[in-house]
Amino acid sequence: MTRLWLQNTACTITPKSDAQGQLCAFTWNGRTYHIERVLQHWRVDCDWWSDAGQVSREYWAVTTKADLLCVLYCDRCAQRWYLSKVYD
Amino acid sequence: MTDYAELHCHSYYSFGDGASSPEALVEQAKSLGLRALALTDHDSLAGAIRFWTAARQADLQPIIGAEVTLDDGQHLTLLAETQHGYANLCRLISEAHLHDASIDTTPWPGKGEPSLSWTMLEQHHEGLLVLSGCRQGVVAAPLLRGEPELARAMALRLCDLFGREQVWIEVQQHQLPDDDRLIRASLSLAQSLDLPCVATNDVHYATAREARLRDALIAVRHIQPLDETRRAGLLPLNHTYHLASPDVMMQRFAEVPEAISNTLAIVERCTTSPLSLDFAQQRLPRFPTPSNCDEFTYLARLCHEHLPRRYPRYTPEVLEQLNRELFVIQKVGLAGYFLSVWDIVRFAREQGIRCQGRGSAANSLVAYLLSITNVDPIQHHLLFERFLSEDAHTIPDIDIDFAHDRREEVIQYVYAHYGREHTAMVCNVVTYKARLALRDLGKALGFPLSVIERLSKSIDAYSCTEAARQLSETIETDAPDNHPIRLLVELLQMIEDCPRHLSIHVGGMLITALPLNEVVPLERATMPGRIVCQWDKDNIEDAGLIKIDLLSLRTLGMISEAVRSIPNAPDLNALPLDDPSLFDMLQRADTIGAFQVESRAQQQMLPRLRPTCFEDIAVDIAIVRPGPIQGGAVHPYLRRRAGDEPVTYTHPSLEPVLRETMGVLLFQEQTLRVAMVASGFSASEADMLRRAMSRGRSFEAMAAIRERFIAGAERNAIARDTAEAIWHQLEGFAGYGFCKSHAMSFALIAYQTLYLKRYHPAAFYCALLNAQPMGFYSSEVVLQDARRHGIRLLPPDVRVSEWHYTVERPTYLRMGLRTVTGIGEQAWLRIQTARAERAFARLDDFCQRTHLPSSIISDLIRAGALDAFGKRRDLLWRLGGIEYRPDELPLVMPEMPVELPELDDMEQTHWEYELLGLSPHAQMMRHYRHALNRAGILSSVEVKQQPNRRTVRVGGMAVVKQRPGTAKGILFVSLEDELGMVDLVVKPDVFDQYRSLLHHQTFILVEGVVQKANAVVSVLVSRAMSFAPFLSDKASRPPSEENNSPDG
Repeated sequence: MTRLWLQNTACTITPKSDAQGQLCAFTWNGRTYHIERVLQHWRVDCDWWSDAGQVSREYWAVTTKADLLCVLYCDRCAQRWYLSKVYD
Repeated sequence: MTDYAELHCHSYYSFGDGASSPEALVEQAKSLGLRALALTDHDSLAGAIRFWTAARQADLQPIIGAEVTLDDGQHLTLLAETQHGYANLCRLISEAHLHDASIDTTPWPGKGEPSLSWTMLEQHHEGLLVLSGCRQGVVAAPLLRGEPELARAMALRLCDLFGREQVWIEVQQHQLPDDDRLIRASLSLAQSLDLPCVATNDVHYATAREARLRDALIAVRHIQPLDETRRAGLLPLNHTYHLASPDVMMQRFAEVPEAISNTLAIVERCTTSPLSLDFAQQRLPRFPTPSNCDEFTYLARLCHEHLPRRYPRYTPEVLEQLNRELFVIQKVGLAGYFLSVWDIVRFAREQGIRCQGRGSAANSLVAYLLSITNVDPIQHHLLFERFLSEDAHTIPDIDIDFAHDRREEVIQYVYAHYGREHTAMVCNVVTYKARLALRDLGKALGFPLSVIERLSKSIDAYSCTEAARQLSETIETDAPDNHPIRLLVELLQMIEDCPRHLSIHVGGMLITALPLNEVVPLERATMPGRIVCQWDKDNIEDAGLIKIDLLSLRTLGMISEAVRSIPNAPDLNALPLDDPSLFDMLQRADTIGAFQVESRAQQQMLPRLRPTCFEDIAVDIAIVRPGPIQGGAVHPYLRRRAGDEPVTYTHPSLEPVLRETMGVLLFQEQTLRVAMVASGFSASEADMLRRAMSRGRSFEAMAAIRERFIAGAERNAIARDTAEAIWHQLEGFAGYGFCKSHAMSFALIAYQTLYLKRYHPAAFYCALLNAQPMGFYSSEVVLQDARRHGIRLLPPDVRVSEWHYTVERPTYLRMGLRTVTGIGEQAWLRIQTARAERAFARLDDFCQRTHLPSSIISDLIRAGALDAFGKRRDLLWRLGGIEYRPDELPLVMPEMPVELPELDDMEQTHWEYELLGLSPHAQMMRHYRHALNRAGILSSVEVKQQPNRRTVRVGGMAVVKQRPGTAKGILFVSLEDELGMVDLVVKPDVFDQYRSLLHHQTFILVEGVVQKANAVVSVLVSRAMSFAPFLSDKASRPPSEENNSPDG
């Protein structure tokens, strides 16, 4: 069964990169998750005209070695990372 | 080091989609180290010439292409491999726009969207390389929809159609969720068909900075705010559509390096057979000449044939000049061009269509002999080299003015004579200026219309950059980055010079030897039946082509009409140019209605300049322009002319050049000579400088030329500050200045209109009123002027009025029925037809026989057109009693005797202003004079009688309001009353204080100080007051002063 965790609730994470600068792991709630595969990678730049301000994010849909399917994103404006969605 | 060429790039000529200029794209491509850049605008080569020129100047390999739209909306990227491919690209884009209208006269409702059929592609594919396109492309789109077989079939179709060796599968990486999948599928397809792939970046702006502008432009194109545009999925997901460096592109396609290296292979293919956008050899079809006669021989023969007509006793000087001109014309190969223009002018004259050449062509004796121009270049010492020189690197065009009401006949003659395949109108690129940009961008940002309106009114700027500056001053310093006004300011700064759409040039026609749609793409104009090419006048010139400007001039139509109504009218082109009474009119600024010398600024200038000869009129026309004003030329010239200051020169070397204008730069010809004398420019370089200064897009180029100018001057031992002062004069002047021959041509028309006004006022004013709207003033102001010249106006009368104004008696004009608001030509036809049968006898007779709707008859009554049948109130009462069914006969007209009050004078005037826009009896201010007198408010005449510096109050109707860009924010108002006009000068601080009264009201009441300089009187306003109390004062004019005579 697939359950959707954390939908619409962004959690701050700490990313880790490998020697080539590629995303290889992230830390969430004190635990490190190693990325097995990047499934998708996309970027969004929009809403710069809105009251809430510009959204500029880079998204990664990844699977971890712990068999989690996660969607992470980097807020390019604030340079902070978030965990957007987690499927188990 | 990675090598990469960008082969898919849109400039802002992809209207509503691209956000950068061709020059900006070239500059960025160069700085990123790209090997080459292809411009591939949507269905357009409108930016091709600018791109081609900029790339070659930057030493970047340009490739010409386009992203065409197919019938099903899918895209295809086409690149011109050869000259033949370029011609095919032009054909394809033309056909996409014309929808195979066969360049005929079939009317169309609008421009429509371009789209191309596969059949068209099949017919014109040779010499083109094809890339499979973006995500909307013929291959990518089905792949994204999950239809790989269809994608394969489309790729094979491209191979069949273009040839396998011409086709590349295009791949792009824009960090979209399904990009990787699409790239894998595209590569797999390419591999299975053994087709090469190529990486492109679908560039829509030079740098990421312009991404927001592209979003906004897309929203503008879809006529909806950004929010809705995004929700509709019409905005790109991100801002990665800018030029990328070779390294970045290699990184994105690290797994398919051949996609990068193939870009270079394509560049190689496109440069093997060098493309040329120089079409000088295709300028014009060969002119048909008598047998055994080439174009030049025929031209020379014509000139000699016409010589005795223009110069019955010509001197050796004339012959020498003619031979010199013919030598140059032969050398630069322009004989055919002169013959073509001569032929057009000959046609016009044969048809009785008044015309006259203007511009630099009037410097030419050949043009004068062929009757293309009417100013004698020998007599007026004009400079042929301003028009044409042996080493000219560009070919000037000839501009001809035609009577406005008959120009279309000339255009149709050109179409018929040269064929529609070789003829099109030149386009005009409409670029964003402050108000238009503010409106479009404001809507995109979701501003309410009321806010847009308010912002629009609050700015006083023409350029977007200046509007941005003014708006930015209103933003609080701690306002957030996404404050709506801050965003608007950001966009305004970027949108400067961005084109919005193409329109038709006012008169430029392009005629080519090759079929035109192989030279430049054609498209439909909004005007039914009219086709424009995608290049503007500058592009045409840069491509080595020549346009012929067939311009429409209402004044010429007006002169024609006036001359037609004068028995035994003289030939206006042969008038002696020394009539003292006309110069007296000029000195008194009695010039309303006269061509080019009637404006408020002219009326201020003329009494100071005091023209005494024909050349002075040309000086006057040249001097009342932004150029001389910005260049600080006006006051020195006037003071020197009056002997109030000595004639000096910015540098002694300029004396021979500027002696004729007392050391002041007034004519374009002098710009050339100054550059040559001061900085050692060649004639060709000097002309380049002049053209750079006069072109709208030349601001960046100007900096470079300026440095060369200053350096050259320093080499000629001119001090840097002196050189800079000379440059400042050139810069301020050249952008808007006239060349001397142009000023002379206009002076001739000015002289002719003055002659008509002086000697045939009824014909003059009648034609002038019929030509409205025209010139500087409204019909009402013209009418007031006519009254001051003894012309009386008769109200419209259904018994005798024609459609237009007519001369009824020597000094009486009859208003035409078209002056009555709401009376259309259909109504006029009914009246005309019924009247032809027999005269109207009474109101009921009129109603019965015209069957016009009662609302129209009511308006005719209120306008006074039925005064012959009774008093207006009585007629309205009787009309109301008719059981009026326009389509039924007979009408019942009951007798309903009633005592109605007289229509008072004020009410009658109001009705007339409402329906006629003026009163044939009196100017409106007459009604307020009594009350104004009681309040100590002076008339225009009384103001002029006051001593200098006297504080006065004056009121009237503002007939002209102007805040010219050169006047540093000063508002000029021409205030008219029943006795005349007086000029108001409002400085910016006063304007800001009384903006709503001065800016929006027609009736104006001000206090200020009388300023007298020479014979010029104005009021420097210190205060404005509301006129409202007088407007509501019904008793402002005692009944005893009523004057109901039709002539006031």
